[in-house]
Amino acid sequence: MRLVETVKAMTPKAMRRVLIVEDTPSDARQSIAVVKKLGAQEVTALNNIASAMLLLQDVVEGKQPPPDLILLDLSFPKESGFEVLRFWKSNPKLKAVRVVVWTVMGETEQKLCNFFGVDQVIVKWAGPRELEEALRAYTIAPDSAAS
Amino acid sequence: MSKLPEIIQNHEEGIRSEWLKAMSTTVRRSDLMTDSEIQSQTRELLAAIVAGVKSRDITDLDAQAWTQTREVLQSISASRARQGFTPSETTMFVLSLKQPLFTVIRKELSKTPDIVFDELWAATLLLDKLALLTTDAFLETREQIIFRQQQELMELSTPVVKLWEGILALPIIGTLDSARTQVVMESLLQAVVQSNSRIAIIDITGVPTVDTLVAQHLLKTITAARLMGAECIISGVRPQIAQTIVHLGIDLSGVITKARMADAFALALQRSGRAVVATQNGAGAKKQEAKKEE
Repeated sequence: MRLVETVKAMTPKAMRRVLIVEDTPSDARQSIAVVKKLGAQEVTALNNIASAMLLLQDVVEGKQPPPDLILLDLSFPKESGFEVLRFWKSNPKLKAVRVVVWTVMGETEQKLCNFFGVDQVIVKWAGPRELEEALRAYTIAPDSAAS
Repeated sequence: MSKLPEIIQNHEEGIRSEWLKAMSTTVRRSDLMTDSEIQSQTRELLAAIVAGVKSRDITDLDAQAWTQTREVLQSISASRARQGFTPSETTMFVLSLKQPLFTVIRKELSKTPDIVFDELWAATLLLDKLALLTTDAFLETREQIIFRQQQELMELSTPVVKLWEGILALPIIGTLDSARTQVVMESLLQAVVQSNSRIAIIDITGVPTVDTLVAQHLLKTITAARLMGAECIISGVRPQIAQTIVHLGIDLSGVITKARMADAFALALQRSGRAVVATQNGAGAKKQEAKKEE
């Protein structure tokens, strides 16, 4: 049982359903393009924290299927992306959802992300190519999918 | 060529029994170790010394031939440091070997008094080096113990208590330095995440002084917690500390401060939409008590 769990944990999870929480239109467009390129079939992009929280609430209540991955920005004019991280961390039903933070941020914010145990933190200034490279780890490669 | 190796090898048992006798009058601590323990330690160490002197290089203890002796001595010193022996008692364990060894040297070389001095000098050098090694190993173990205790104290000194659903308290006792503030900050933020709390009370009643650096550390913690969506309240600001803060020109205007933890807790409850009220039973009991007093 333990071995199976370890293997599962090591196997890249499919990135079919992706939730993007991003308020900058250009960044949203870029990230949608990247996840679609990597094989995401169902992409939901939301530009505010409140909507993201409502969606996740629906997921917890079983009204919506959970996303495989959340690509989250932290800086928003009203609430911060940490609200999403709080909700994600405190709901065991969202444990299987992977969270990648994509944001312009300092060292403190990066450290705080570690406290929440997010899967990865990618800095925006590195560009969309870096994002694509990082997110590739969350997709199933064609040959492993076939096997 | 030194005759010391041969002398030690030939009189190993005799030296050991005299050594045990010498120790019984100087450093024997029957309260800390048994006879069998000391017997086995002396046997082990003397055997290692015999192995070392066979190399004929009796002054260079860093040489390969002395590895066993070094290891045995380090292990004996470490165990004595843990058992509660004093440094001098531990060193005397080795130094009390001098008298029996010198007696044997004198007996063996009585016909050649010129050589006696050289051999005694060689034996002194060897035992002094072994004694120094003992002290080093003893201190190293003590330092390890102190370091471990420091770590434990550090962990114990930063408890994060859950006062209510969504309300945490962090009572800080003792001086805050950079390293400790880092631990305080991390345990608080960790607890905020784990318990999904919205309010954290940092109680500084037990902090003797607040300087600019400590205040900066506190403000950093508060900012980080705020980023995570948790508000911090500082409680236990005593008049002296308030004066210091004003004197140093530290700006705490964006931070909620309270004199007592009770006030901070009341505010935290109020902010989370709760309040503490006296029950009818409690109020009734008080009235009855008041009547009785009348």
